Amino acid sequence: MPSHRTAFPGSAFWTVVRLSAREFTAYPSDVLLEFFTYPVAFLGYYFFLQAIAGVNPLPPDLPLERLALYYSLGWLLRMIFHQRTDVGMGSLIAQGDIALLLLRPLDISRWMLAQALGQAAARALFYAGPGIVLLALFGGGLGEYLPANPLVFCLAAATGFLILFELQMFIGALSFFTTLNFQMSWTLDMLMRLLAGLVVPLSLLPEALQSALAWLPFPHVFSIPIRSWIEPQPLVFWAPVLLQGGVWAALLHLLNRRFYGFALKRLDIFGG
Amino acid sequence: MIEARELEKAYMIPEMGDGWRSWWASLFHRQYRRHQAVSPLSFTVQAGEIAGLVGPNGAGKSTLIKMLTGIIRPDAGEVRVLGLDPFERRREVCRQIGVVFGQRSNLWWDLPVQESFYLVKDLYRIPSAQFTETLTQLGAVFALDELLDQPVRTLSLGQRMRCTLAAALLPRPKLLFLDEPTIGLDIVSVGKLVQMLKDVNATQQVTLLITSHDLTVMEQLCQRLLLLDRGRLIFDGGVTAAVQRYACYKKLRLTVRPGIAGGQERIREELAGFGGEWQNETLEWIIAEGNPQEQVLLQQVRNLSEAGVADYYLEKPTLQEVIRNAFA
Repeated sequence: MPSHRTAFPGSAFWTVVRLSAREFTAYPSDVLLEFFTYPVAFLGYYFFLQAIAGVNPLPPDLPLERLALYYSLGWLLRMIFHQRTDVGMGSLIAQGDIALLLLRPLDISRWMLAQALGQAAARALFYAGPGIVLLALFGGGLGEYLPANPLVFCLAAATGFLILFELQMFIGALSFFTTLNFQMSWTLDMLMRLLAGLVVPLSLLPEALQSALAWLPFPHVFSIPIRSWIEPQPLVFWAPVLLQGGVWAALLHLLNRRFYGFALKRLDIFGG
Repeated sequence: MIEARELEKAYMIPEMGDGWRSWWASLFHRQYRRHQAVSPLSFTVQAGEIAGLVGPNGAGKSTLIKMLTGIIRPDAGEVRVLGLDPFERRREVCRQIGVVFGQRSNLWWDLPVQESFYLVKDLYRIPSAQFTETLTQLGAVFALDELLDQPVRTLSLGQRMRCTLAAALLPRPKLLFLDEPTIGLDIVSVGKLVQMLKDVNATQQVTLLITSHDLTVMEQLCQRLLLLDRGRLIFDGGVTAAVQRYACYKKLRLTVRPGIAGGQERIREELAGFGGEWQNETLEWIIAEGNPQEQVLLQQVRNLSEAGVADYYLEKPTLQEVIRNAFA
């Protein structure tokens, strides 16, 4: 059994998380620029929705403020969750730099997870706070923009992050077999936006599609964390949903382990 | 320390001809060429040895190192590093070895060098006291003090190599693989590196397996040479044995003192029967090992000191010549 399946020390995991977060701030001007451009992106969304609402009646259960909150939360979560792990992994494989990871006593999957977690933590720190404040400015009161159930939201967000990470690791591993990593990454991203409720809230999709999606991992990535923020439902309502998300995260994790074990056997790195 | 038996690796390389027809056909049916990177080869490296892998480009040196370090899986054969299969038990093997690829760096690009060192400490579970002690020692050898706070991206190639080597040595590996470690280093840095590797080998009994095109380094460092040619091991033995096999000759060089009237003409005349090749005021002979004429020639040269022989000396072939002859 290939030893990449074994984990590396917990202290090293958290060191990688810390270094990844620190790396994010290695170029302060970039952080500053993103800090200012991110609210501008938010503003764009808000005015776009306002314009749409001006010519088409919005569904009664999704007034303008709620829809703006829905999309803003969605894109805020995407910014934190989506750390381009698939492209990063693909470029490691294509350029042969995966050799450098294989030379260390570590589990590649946990290494990549620690990196994604560190980058996500840094982004959450720098952008989530300002994002929420900005939402409140348009909505009239910070209280309305705090999660309805913080514990459920945290669990749903963690599950969503893990599912998206595993899906990206899967796309990344395809680079062992093909050079189309970038295109597949883009396709996954587009599918994710649609099936996870970033393009349209899933409640607006046809009933049949909603029923099918309820069994798939995609809604757990964005739609469910957003809903858990917005909808004041009791914990018993969310428990089976969270359990299903956890099962998906575990299944995808196991699938990836098998896939990487198989893929590493056919890894070729030419030249020095 | 390293045992390789009938180790073999082939790559399938896609072949794409030129022209529209070839391009169209390659979309549906791609042709592959099998490139035997490493033909069945066997060797062992004992603990404490410094062995050099030498060969021209494409000889299979890097592929061999990747198989020995568990990065890629051999197609056939068996390999044991520290008694373990490096592919199947990569993590355990990695914990005990250090690897430096001259063209790649394991340091964290945007962060200060010391952060990468702390990561090594955590990854290899190095006790704090041992970490501090080793870092102090390596800092003295590689002059790391002023580099520790610098982001890796701001280092020169030589500085980066020093830091990469230090990172590889921090866990005190039992076995160190060095693939082209002198790329980009200046002469002074190469000299220091060679001395440091000798010290590490002598004081910590670290086994070294090195590939390099810098034969001066190999000559100064390696007790043993493994010559690879097109994936085959064509020689495995000591440097002296390599010289005996591939450069079994000496060079006798004689230089003429200028300003002695008729001196050079007399020397030319007296030594004409021995052949040799004149280059300005130097005459050079290549004498096969064991040639009885060697002593006669030497005596003749000594006799000509009054005619203006300024100096003469016997020279062993350099490793460069050995390699050149081996791969000729």
